[in-house]
Amino acid sequence: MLAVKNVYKSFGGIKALNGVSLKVETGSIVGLIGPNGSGKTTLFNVISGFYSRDSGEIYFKGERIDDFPPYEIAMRGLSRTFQISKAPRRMTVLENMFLAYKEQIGEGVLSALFRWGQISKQERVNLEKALTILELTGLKNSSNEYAGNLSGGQQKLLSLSRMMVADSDLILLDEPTAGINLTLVAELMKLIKHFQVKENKTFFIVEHNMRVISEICDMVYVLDSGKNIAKGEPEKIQKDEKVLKAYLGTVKEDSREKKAMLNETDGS
Amino acid sequence: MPVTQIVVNSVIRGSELALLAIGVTMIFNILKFANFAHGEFALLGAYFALFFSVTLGLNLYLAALIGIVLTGLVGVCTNEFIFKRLRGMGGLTLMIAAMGLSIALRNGVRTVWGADPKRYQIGLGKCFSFWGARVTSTQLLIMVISGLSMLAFHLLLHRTKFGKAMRATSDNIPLALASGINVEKVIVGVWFICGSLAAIGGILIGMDTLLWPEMGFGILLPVFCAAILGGIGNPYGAVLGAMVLGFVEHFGLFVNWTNVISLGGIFNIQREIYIPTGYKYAISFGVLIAVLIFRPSGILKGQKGD
Amino acid sequence: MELMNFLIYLVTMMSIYGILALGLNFHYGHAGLVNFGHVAFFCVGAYASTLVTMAGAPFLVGVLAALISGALLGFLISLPTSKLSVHYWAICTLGAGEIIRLIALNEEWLTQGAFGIPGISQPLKSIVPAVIYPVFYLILVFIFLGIVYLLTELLVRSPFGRVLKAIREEDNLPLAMGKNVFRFRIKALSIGAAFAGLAGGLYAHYITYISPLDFMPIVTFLVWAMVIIGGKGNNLGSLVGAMVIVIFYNSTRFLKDYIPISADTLASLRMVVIGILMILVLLFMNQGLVREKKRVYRIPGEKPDAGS
Repeated sequence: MLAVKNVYKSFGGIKALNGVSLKVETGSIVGLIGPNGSGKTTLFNVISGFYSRDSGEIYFKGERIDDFPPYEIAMRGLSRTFQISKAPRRMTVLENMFLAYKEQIGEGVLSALFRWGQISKQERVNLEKALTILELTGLKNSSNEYAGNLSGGQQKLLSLSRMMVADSDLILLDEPTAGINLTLVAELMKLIKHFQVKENKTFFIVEHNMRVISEICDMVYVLDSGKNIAKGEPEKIQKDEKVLKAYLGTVKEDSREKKAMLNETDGS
Repeated sequence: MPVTQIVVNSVIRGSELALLAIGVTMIFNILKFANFAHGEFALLGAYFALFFSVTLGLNLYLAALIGIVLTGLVGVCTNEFIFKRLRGMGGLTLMIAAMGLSIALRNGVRTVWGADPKRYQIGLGKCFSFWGARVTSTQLLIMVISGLSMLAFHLLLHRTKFGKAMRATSDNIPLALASGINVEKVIVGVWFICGSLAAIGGILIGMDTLLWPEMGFGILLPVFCAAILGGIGNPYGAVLGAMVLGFVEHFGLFVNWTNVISLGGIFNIQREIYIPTGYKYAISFGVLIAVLIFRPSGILKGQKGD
Repeated sequence: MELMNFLIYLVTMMSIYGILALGLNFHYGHAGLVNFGHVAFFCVGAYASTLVTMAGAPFLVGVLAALISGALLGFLISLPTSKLSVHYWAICTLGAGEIIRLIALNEEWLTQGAFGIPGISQPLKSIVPAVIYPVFYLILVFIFLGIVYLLTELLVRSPFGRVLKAIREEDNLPLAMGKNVFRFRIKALSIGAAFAGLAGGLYAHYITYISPLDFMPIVTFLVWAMVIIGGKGNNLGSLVGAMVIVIFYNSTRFLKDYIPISADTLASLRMVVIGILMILVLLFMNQGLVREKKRVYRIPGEKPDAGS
């Protein structure tokens, strides 16, 4: 569904993406891990159209999207969340949900003024769908609350709910479990799995939480300093020498710490 | 008008604008909003000096000094009572508040002093003539004071501990905080300095021409233009931008545009085309548009882009 | 009788400024754009309607011209928003406002410059008896105000308005949701500007004489005060703000007789008060006099007490 070929991106003198290539198969959940500053969010930004790449190609559902503006990409079925929730604070949960529907009749000025009947019909249908999803993600009781009043965890759930309403085919999740408690993490994982299976959605997830990665990802890519250094199934990745080196980077060769860490992971 | 005269006029104008441009650019960079009330600091400085010199009879230099300090204090107060409290509400709200402040200050001056133009009690001074340009001693004084002020600012920025803190804050606030710099104190200092500089600018304008209540608002756009032209966040850029703008304004009015518009004779245009003096304001607007289209980051490297 | 005429004048001006305020509120309150050159649309609309009717066209065509010219200028000014940050754009609008006035002042072949244009026609002047003409015109303005209010309410409550609400806060989320933020901004700006142009046309035919002096920056500031004090993002608030400011602005006429201050000083003083009021409202009553209402949906199966 998504193919990234040899993408480069620099900011000033800093090479954020140094020739990244990867593939995301339809219906799978793919993870993207790597130490801080390795370029994961930059990659997401490039794929979703918020940054333009310096060179390389990006294909989505067979179409080349690397020059498209973000809204064009979103309209084609690729959605993304943000690390820090950007939900408009002064809009309610339901309003947030409504925002996500594509092809709304009332978004054009003339339609908004004259096609009331069709708009209210569409709104009613959308409301039902939104409520169903909110029920699933547990936010139904906060439907008419301002998004700004939700807790951090609830905002993550809102982001996910919004993705579902948008009916996108590929969803990029940028650190969906960052900063939320364990129960909620389990909840989120369950939901992601549910949407993958029931609605045939594809997920591409940036994560630091290895438990999430190993439990729900079919495939994992590892990024370090803008380069793809490993790919494979979660268990394989966790034992990979290169990956460990990337994360533990500053540990000296043959130091006691390193030996201890390697022993530990070997044992597991 | 001989070219040298235009050069002289440009430098004077640039000198006046520069002092305000420095303030605007620093406030924009550190506090992240366009201070639409900045022109009124110049206004206040000028009128305070007027009050102390003409009304109270003090020596103009002393009056000016008092005016400058007072305006700096006003700057500090506006931060304390208005801008600091609104900081959480985003740059747009700060801009609007600045607009409200500008209305209040400008009309406050108008209430107290009236709408008629006023003058300082200084003679024109001796008139010098060189290379076809005429300069009065007052105008020379203006250029000198402006230059000295800019020099003082430079020394402050690079030779004092406070200046170092200012530069650090200007560069990266979280980092400055983490290095133990009292950013709040720096901000207070910045308001005092920027207010004072603007006051000097206002007094200089008053010495060069007149004092009138709209003088602050009238130069707001050219000042913003100069700051953006020079690269927001870079006070040296602001000075450069102000000078460039001064030249563009005066030469823009002087140049016979017929040749340019007829593309060197390709089109046959009979009339002489000059930019009417009524559109002088439009020149700085035009420059602003051009900068924003072609090089929004400004001539020199600012601290931040857009 | 004097009082009656004055009241009619007052309410007419409130309505005209109300339309102006609704336009600015559309820009700022609904779309989150700070425009310091609002008077430009007012000016363009006034001159457009004047020139068109002076060329022989009927009043309604003039009004249409006012609307279209306002929208056009709004469209032009909106184009840079794709590349400029809101701050830079605000600075540009400041310039734009003044440039329009300068054009009106300098292009005498078009606008008669500083002399202004006297003798602007008034609709149905020959049919309606002179005594009740002010009331007639007031009703006319009311009708337009009502239409504008209706339109803004409709738009704000629609999905279009919903997207504007999101854009108001920040761009990235609406973009990620597939909304062409730039296009929405253009539309919002053009619509608000069209309303302001309409107000200009109505103003011209009311006062029957316009000159560049009618379009100084003070108009922009008064409208800003109306929107901020009345309550941004709330259409009713803009109307309330218009009422408050117009009443205040005109009430000082009477003070002159009781307080020994010259008219000029009084005029400046009231602007000082308005400026201070704006700041106070921003500091202490950020939502203004009329708050923005929350959009609450009825959830089937829930008792309609709902979250506050």
